[in-house]
Amino acid sequence: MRVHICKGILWFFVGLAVPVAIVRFIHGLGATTNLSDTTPWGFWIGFDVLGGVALAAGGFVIAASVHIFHLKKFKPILRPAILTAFLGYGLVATALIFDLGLPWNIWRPTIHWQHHSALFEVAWCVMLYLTVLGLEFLPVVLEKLPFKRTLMFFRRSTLILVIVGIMLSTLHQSSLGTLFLIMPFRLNPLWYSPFLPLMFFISAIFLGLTMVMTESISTSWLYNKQAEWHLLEKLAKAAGYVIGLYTVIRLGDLLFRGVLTSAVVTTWEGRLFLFEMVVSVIVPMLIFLNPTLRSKRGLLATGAFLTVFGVVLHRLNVGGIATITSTGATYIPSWMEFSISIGLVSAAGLVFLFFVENLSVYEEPPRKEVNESEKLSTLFYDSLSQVRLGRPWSGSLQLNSLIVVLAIALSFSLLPVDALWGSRPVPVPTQNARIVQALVQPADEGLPGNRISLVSPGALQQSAIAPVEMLLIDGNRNSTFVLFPHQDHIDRHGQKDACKLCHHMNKPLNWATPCYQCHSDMYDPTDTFDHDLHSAKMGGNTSCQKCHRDRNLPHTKANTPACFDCHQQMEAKGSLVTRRPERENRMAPGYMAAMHELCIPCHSWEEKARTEWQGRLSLCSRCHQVEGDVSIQAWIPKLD
Amino acid sequence: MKEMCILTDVTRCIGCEKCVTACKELNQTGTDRFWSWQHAINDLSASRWTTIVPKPNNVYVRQQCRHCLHPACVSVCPVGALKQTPEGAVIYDSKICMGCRYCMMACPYGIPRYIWSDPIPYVRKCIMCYDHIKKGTVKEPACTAVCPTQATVFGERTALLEEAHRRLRDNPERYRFQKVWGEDEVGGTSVLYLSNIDLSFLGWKPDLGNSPLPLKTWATLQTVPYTFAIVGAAMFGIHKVIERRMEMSAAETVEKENGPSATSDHTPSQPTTEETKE
Repeated sequence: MRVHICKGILWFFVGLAVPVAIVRFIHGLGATTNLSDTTPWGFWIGFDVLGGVALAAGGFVIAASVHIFHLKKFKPILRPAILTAFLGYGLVATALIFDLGLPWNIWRPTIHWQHHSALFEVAWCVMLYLTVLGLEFLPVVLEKLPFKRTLMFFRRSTLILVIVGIMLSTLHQSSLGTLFLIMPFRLNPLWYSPFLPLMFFISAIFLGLTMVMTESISTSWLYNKQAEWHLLEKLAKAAGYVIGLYTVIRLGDLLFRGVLTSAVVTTWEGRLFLFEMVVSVIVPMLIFLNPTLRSKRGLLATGAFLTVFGVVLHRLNVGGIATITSTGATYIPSWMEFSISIGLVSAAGLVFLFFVENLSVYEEPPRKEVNESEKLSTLFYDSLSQVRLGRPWSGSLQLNSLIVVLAIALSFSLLPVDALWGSRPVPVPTQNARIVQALVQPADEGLPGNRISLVSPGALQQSAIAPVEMLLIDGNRNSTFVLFPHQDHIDRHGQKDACKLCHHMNKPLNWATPCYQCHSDMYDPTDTFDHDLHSAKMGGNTSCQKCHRDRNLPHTKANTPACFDCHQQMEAKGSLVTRRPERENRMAPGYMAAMHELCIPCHSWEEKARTEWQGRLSLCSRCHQVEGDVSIQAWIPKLD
Repeated sequence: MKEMCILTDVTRCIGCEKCVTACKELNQTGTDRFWSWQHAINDLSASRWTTIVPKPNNVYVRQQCRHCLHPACVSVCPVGALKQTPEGAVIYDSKICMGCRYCMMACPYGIPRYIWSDPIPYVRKCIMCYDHIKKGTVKEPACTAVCPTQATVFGERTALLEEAHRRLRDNPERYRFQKVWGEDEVGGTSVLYLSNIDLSFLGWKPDLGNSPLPLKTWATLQTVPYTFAIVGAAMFGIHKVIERRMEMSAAETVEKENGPSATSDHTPSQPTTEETKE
């Protein structure tokens, strides 16, 4: 019954992961994960890849014990260890398919050799070791098939496979640590060490041992059979010694680099470090090295579980948690990332149980549990009444299918909008427009333009002129309000049809279209004054001081002579642009400033002064007849 | 081949962002959008390969790929999608990239960006307009060509270093930091800065050191073939030694039928459990 419940749960998680897997490949990583440019590696790398590889270490550790050190007594647990390793590596490879942005290029390291990349080494080790593990496990499958010769061949080559497997594992476990050697700036010093590869390797050995223990204990519990407790105690003792060695190296390295005392007390990473050490190292070591404690089954199991948890936590810390402070990134994996990871582990678990039940993985295969409902299910046809009763749906196939379908439905219903339709940009927050009352009065004598003053509603009655309704908008998304002539824009763009230009453009995420969407060049400096042309004509780099006369003052237009100081005869004959002392020497910093400050007010001002141009001078189209028309050039006085 | 380089003088930058728009135009990087994985819309992004970081007192710092002389990103790429050209530019080949994003993890300046929104995502960063210069369509990167104040200029690395030191010598009060940022940092970069403010915010840590980052990995990676061979030889040796010992102990107790297996189980177990630790 335990097995059925357990399988049901595993199938549920597999089902939960299916829709996520689909949207991951349709809409990409941005829609499904919380990864960012500052946190490009997340839970999938930390848990699935780093953790998965570490958890698979049992394979090579037990294989070494049995075949190299001739500890034949461990033979009963060799097959499950190899199987776990094989599934673990399969899980890593599958997780990589999800995590890689362009997984169809996963084979590329085989032809593009980059021997200076740690990840290149990792890639090769995964590929080769997965093959080796497959070959090591193959005899278990072949036993059930009628290929006796092939079986003999693989049995004979076991030693070579085991040795190659150990060589590859040594490199691979350590090379995952090598990955992080190039990130001394990201990783917290409590985890970064030049000896990271060594620490990854040693922790993989004791993790491998404890993982084999965990598996034996869990499968024996699942199938209600006796675990190999006498073997597990021996494994625990060996693991205890390796943990001791690891602790000495880890703490010695921290002491030697002088980061132990300073970091542990003050920072949250220090507390995390202490927690990791207590869970993964100190408590298990106390249990495993004490003969009375480790003979107690509950404690032994606790120690094994704690070590597994602690070392996976170590991998997660190195893989991301310990980089949070230096990058300032806040990364919490999305539920979709968790669901893929858990779904993959569950799938691996199901395959493991399938192999355990159908092949001789354990020496004592699990007894076939005859389910009451399965017995009943044979009576699905009632011959007396000639009624088809149908199979009871509690049969495991039907039940599990139902669970998967329900899980898929649940997962689909939980998918966020971005995951369903692809990630969309975040709306840039703007402040809502405010309606204000303004008085528009003609400017003072001698000055161009209008004088606009905002009035408070209470002050309205006292004013002689009728106030105009205007809008203050955060048009440039910088929380600075500008006065926006709303009515002018409506008039200019065709009354009712104009609304949609700004409010219903195909930019649903922009609550209103910003000014620069249409005034796209508003920030571009105008070339009223061509600095390069002037400097070139006056002798390049030696000419600066001709204009920027005082080198101690900032080189701004305020500290330079006016145009008219040099160009005495600048006004062309009949030019409408006349000298105005107050407007001299002011290069417009941008088109926006030009329009708002220089051109429009002047033109309006001139229009009033010259009756013959009445109603025409302030029209933009007066000069800009067609888009890109050069007629404006005619107004520009010819120099020289 | 001449090593090309960009020198950015922070004291000359007026923050007009012409470099940003010019870069966008030439490289066709597309419109900026504010995505959830960015800090701000004008942050470096897949569509914004260079940006201006405004600092207090009208100081503007242009951020871009530093084109390190010993690039960490190139050294970690498992397929060689990122390459360093003889001219110094670090370029990217999207055809062979497998999307592992190790380059983004390794970069000490946190420069490479990813097109997270796309199901077929690529890495994006400044490539010093290498392809355009190679084709001959432009003579120098779009950003330096367009800069109105010559705050950022393009040239040979040696010449620009000389120029930078000349400016420091001639105008010591203008530059609060008497150093050329990027001259020796992480082994030297092809994008140099002169500044009157502290530029250490551009990297993950204030002091990145002067030794090239790839050396840190290489110290371990170069031992890989030896480790591989030694582990293999050691395993085979141990196997043979223990096998031989077991055969000898089996010969001693040859009179008992079940003896050998029983003794062989116990005698080697004590020393070997200790050997497993290593």
